Amino acid sequence: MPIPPLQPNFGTEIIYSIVVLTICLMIYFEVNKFFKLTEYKGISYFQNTFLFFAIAYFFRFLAKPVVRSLFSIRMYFFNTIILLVFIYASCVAVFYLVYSLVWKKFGVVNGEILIHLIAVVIALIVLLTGNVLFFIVVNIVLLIYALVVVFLERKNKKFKMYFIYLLLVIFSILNIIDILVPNFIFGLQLWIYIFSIVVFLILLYKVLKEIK
Amino acid sequence: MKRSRLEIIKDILKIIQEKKNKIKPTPLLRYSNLSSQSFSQYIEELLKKGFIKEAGEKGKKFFSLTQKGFTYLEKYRDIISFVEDFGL
Repeated sequence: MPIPPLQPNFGTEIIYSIVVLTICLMIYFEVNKFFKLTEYKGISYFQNTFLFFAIAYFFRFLAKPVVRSLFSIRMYFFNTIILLVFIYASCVAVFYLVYSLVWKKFGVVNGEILIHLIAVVIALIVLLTGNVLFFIVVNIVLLIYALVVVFLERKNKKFKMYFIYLLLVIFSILNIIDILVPNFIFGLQLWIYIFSIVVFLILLYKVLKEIK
Repeated sequence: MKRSRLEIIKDILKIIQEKKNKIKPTPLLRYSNLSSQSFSQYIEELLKKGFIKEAGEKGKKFFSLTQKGFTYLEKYRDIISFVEDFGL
């Protein structure tokens, strides 16, 4: 049976953004309790993932045409800045997630600076060249890398979140594509929103359960 | 097997707790099973972050846990479970 097309309107956009933003900030502040106690780098990278997801989803909301038209945000400069921050924050969030899994393998090299530099370069290239394909390719490469990392980590039986991490990366990429190439997933946006919220909720539940 | 940083901190704090929350530096070094260089670094870090405090009694130096140190020990299992479950 084919999936019925569902198009989000302004109300849906605002609810979706508020829900994801709230979940991300809740995870961030909840995880911060453990970080303040341990100052453990892995926890810091993990919580940064959700801080940057929160920033990304806020700017994603502003980047939606339905929102821009409502607030008459038509100035090219502001649109560019909004898109720049959105792409940058989305990239940083996914990079931090992957980095939280592999940071021990980097040894003394500080991968954080690299994360921000690469994200800025990607955002600038996408905006200056208008080459969305480049962005999609970069994200697919990142997804493959995440798949490999997650697959390797899967051998560690204690690491239970591999499937959720994968879904998080996939839905994050789909959310970015939704902004840059709206027709690419036309009619499926609402389904993506629902599944994204479910993924974030699972993560929040797991975090709240572990950090009592 | 090499102990993780979180585990070493837990071990040091646990030793202090088990010694009725009052221990001199030399026995703490011996029980913690660390080189003197690593031991000094960890003690410096624990003092700086407020997990332990230093007190002097009759010219002798003692270490004892702060509330933050006790909370760390209390939450240690949860912290480790969190780190392992999320692959951190």
